[in-house]
Amino acid sequence: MKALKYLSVAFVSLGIIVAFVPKQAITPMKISSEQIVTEIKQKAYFISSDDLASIIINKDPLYKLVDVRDVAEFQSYSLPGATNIDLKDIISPDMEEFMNQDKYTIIMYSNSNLEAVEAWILCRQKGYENIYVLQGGLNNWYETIVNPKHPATTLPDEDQAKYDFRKAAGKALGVDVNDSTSVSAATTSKPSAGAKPSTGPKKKKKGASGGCG
Amino acid sequence: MEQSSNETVSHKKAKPYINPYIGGVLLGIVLLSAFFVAGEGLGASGAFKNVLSVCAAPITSADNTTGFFAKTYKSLMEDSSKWWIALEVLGVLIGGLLSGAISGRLKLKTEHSPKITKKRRLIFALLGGVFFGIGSQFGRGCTSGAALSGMASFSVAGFLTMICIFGTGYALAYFFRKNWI
Amino acid sequence: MAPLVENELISGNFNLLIALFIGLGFGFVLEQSGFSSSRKLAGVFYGYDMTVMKVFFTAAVTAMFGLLFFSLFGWIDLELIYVNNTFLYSAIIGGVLMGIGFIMGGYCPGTSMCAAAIGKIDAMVFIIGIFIGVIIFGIGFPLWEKIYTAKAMGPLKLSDLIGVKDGVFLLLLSVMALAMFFAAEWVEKKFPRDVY
Repeated sequence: MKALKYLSVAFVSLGIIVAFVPKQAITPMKISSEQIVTEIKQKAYFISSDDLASIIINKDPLYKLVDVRDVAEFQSYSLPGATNIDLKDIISPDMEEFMNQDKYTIIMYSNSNLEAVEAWILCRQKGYENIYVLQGGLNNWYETIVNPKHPATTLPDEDQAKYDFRKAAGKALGVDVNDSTSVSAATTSKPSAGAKPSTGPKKKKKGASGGCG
Repeated sequence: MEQSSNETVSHKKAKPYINPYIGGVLLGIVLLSAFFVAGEGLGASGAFKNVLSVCAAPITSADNTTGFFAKTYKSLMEDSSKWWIALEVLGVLIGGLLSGAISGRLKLKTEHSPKITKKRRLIFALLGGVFFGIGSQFGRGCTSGAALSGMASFSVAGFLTMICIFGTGYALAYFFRKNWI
Repeated sequence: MAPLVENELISGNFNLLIALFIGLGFGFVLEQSGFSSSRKLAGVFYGYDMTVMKVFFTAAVTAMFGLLFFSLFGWIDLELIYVNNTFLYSAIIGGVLMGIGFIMGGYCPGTSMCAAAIGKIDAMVFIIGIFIGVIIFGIGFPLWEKIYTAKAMGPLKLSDLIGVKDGVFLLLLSVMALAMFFAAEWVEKKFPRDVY
């Protein structure tokens, strides 16, 4: 009887503790919220449209483009080679095999930063690695790559060089196909971000396969 | 309260059993460590299936890999972690033996109610085993694998199986009372 | 960090060695609790010995507290813990058959192993019975394959089904378990009790 009394005290007090602990604390979160907040502040998940342009031109197989807008928007305009995964499906179990991996880098985009960044946060909370966001989204892509503004002549040379690259990239991507020599200009330029994740590769399994029977 | 009176009548040498609540906490810790290490709970009936599928492999491998045992055998051969449960049950045998030896309970005997014969007890034990064997396959685990570990992982199947095992037991207890009391 | 195997913190072979030791602990605790005696086990159905119920629920609740607190401290990833898949009909059929087996045989597979280890002949016969049962199930598998896989509900958690947090669910369960324990103590006093 004495043991039962101790057990009662232990069960009830522990029970009250777990009952009042907020759900998030117990629900599995592979990455702590603090870490995600830090990453958000650092904005290291952004990849510039210039870098993306060279990735697309090089047809780098280590990068996969994901369009997080809805199907209608995706069909009306999308970047070459992009896969459409609607924001609401981004962390669905069906997509996990594609999204949660360490073999390639995923670059997500939407019209602006908003939805892609939301998708990025969702993915990070699930612990997915190697995911980046196109800075400024398609709007910025259009302004910088598809239809770059000519810099004022008073600006320094590097702006002119950037403009030339963008113009060339735009052409290479089929915006303007008059000048084929400009492709080389795009391919020689190295992406500055490097887009390599800082964390090492980490294998993940789906959980214990288990079962007794 | 109960350990003081336990075991003193039947055989004097044997040590009393431990307090059931302490036993329960210890068992809970063993179960937790299984979750901690392997990500799944304890079990027993899976080992029977594994042993059988290995023994039956020469027969079952003939009819392609469609049979129940052939499938189990194949998964055992492909994934060494499927041997977990067989080794665990081997451990149960050793652990039981060790505990029995420490507490002086090692003795070859058939335990039965004085109202029934030894033969009747053994027949019922065999039949009970058959039912348990079939049931554990349907339930995808036995009292330990499906009910106990299932409950501990909050699984609906675990609670359901537990309720069905004990519910049926209580429902039929009246008909088998002679065997036990 | 945990489960250790899933996160590949220990190797597969070492895992199997640990399985042996966990089984050893399992068998030891079962035997020490008196689960090697069929008459003690069957007592739960007649009220003269409620040990099974006490040990069973104390163990389940203890392990559940362990899982939730470990998760809270970040020691274990609950998402990688195997949650038994629910196949509604199969689970009910299995439970009922096991209930019949329990009241007839007085053991379950785990406890029969334990009892056989200390020399209970009835437990050895029970084990032979289990083998026969599993063979029957395996041979007749095509006959009941449909019902075996019917109503698949996946790794469904009861707390999710009734829509409460795991913690609240566990508090309710432990209060229920304690109520059952106090009832068990009362029942044991009421029914004459032999020692096995």
